[in-house]
Amino acid sequence: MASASFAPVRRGVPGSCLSSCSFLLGFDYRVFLARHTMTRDPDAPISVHKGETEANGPGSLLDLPTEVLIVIAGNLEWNDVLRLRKVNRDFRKISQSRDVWRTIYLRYLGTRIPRPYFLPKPLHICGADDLEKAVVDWEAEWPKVIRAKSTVLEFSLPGMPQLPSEVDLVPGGRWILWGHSDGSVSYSDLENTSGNNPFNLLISPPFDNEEPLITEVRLAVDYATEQEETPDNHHLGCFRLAVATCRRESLPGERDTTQVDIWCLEVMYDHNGQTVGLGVKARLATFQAHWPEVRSDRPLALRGNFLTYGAVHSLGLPAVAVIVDWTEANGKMNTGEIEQIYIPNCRPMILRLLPGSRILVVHEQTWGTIGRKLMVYDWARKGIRSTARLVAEPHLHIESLWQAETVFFGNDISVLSLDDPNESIEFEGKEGFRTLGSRTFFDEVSRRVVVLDDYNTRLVVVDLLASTVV
Amino acid sequence: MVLLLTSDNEMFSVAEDVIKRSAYIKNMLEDVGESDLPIPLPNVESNVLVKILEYCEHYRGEPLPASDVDPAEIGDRSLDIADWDQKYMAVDQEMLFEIILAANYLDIKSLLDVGCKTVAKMMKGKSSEEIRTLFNIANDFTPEEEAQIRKENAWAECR
Repeated sequence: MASASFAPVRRGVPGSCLSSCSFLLGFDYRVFLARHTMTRDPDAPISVHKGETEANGPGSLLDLPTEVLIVIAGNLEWNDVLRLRKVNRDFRKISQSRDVWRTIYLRYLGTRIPRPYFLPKPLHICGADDLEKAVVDWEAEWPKVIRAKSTVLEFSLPGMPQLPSEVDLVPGGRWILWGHSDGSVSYSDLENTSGNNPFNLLISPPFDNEEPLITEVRLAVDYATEQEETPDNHHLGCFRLAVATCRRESLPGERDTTQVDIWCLEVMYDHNGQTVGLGVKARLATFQAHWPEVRSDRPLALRGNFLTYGAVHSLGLPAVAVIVDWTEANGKMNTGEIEQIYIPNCRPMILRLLPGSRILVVHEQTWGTIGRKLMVYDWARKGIRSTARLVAEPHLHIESLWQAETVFFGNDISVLSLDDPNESIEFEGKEGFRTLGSRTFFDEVSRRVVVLDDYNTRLVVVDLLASTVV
Repeated sequence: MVLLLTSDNEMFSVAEDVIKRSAYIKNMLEDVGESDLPIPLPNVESNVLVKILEYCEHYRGEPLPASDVDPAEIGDRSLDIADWDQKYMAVDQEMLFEIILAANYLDIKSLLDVGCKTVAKMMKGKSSEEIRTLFNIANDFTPEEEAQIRKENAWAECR
C-alpha cells in the first residue's frame, strides 16, 4: 500500500489519455538519473515505480509474443512440452513448433553420451514432428512388458521357403539387410514390400564360380565409426559392413577359404530428406583367410579398423576370440601373413568391440554352470599377438578388466530379450509363430523389433512404440 | 548520457555504457550518432524501465554477448539462474511479463533469457490444469479437440 501513496497524479489515467494530456502540457520531464551517477532527482524516488501496474499492460502470459513463448518452451523438458500441449489452443501450437523441439533436441544431444539419436533425415530438413519423435522416442521410459498388437508386417516368401538367416535392421527401422548364403547382400524396404522381388541387391557374391559351392555367410555392421567421424551429422549417413563368406571345401585335406570384405554403405536421401534406398559407397578392404568358423552361430563383430570373430578348437566349440586389423589384412590372401590378437580360453557367444581397444565377450555356458559370463578385456594391452593360429591353448590366460558371473539374458545383447520373464513380447494372433528368441533384432532408434522364427521362414516386425504396455 | 522517453512520458538520463546492453539502443546510437534528442520507447513504461536499468546497471562492465548466436547453440541451457538474477526476478507475474516484453523489445538477450528461464521454471513439472490455474488461462478446447489430444498424447503418457 505504501507505493500507492507515492503514485504520481498522472498514474491511473488510462493510457491514451495520459500521453495526450502530457503533450498538451508540454513534456513534464522528470529526469531519472540512473543510480550510478549517484545523483537522483529527489522528485522521482524509485519506490514510485515499484510494483505499479498499468491497466493496459500485459497481464497474461499469452500476451507475450509467440517467439518469446517459443523460447520459454524451449527451456522446458520434453514431457513439460507435451503437458503444455493440453493447456489451450495457443500452447498447442507452440508445442508443435520446430524451434522448440530443435532447441530441446540440441540441448539433450549435448548432455547425453553416447549420442543416441539418429534423425530420420538431415537436421536442416527435419520438421517439428521428426524432432519431437526423435526426442520423445528416446526419452520416454522403456516399456517392460509389451503385448505386440502392432505388427508392422510379416515377411515370408512363397517361392523361397527359407529366408536368409543373416539379418540386420538398419537404425530407423525401415531397411532390412540380408546376407544370403552365397555371400551376396541385399536389402528390403519395410515400407514397400509389394514388389515381386523384395530383395534389392547391394553386393554380388564374392566367389565367381560355375560350380555350385557350399558357402556360408556372416555379416557384422558398424554404425558407430562413420557417425563418430561426422559428429555434426545427426542422421544416419554411412555405415560399415563386414561380409565374411566361407567356402567349404569338399575334398579332404583342403582348407576352407573365407573371403572377407569391408564395405562402406550409405543411406541415400532425396532433396526432401526422404530416404530412397541403400547404396554401396566403397569397398574399404578385401582379404582371404582360412577361417572355418564363419557360421551363423559364431560371433563376428566390426568396429573401427578391427574385426573380431570367435574361433573353434577341435571339439567344435569356440575357444578364443580373435581380433584382426582389417586395414593390415587388406589385400592379403592369407591372414597367416599378418599378426592377429588372441583372447585365449574364452568361449565367445557374443563379441562386441567397444571404444578404446576394449572387447566385451559373452561366454557360452559350460556344463555345470548356470547363466552366462560377461568379460571385458583390454585387447591392445593384454591380448596375445601372434601370426600363428592360437585356437586351443588351454595354458594361456589373460586378465580381464571387468567380469560378471552368472548373468541371465537371451541370446543377444540388447535392451530387450525375449526369454527374460520380465520383458516379453506376445504376438497376438500369431499362432504357430515359434521363436526361442535366438534371432531377434532390435533397433533402438525406431524401437522396432524384427523377429525371425526358428525355421527362418517368417519374419515379424513389431513396433514397440505403438504396442500396448501391460 | 542518453535520454530515454518512456510510454508514460517519463524522461530518463542513462550512461551510454549502461544502456548499451540493449542491442536495440546500441544499434540506434551507432546509426544516429550523438544526439540530444530523447529516444522514445513507446512500448516501455517508466516502472518497467527502472527495473530494466537496475539490471543493466548491475551488469555494467560485463562483456556484451555476441550477436547472431543461435540460442540453441549456447552450451548452458539448464534452468540454473544466478542468485542475483533470481532475486531480481522475484516480482509479480505482470511485472515479470513486462520485463520480458521490454527485454525482447530492447533486445537485451541475457535478460530475455533469464526471464524465459524464470517462466519455464514456473511451468516445469506442472500438469496442464496447474499451468492454467497458475497463469489464469482458459481452456478453449472443444470436447472433441480434448479427446483428440488425449489420444495423441496417450502413448507418451502411459510410459
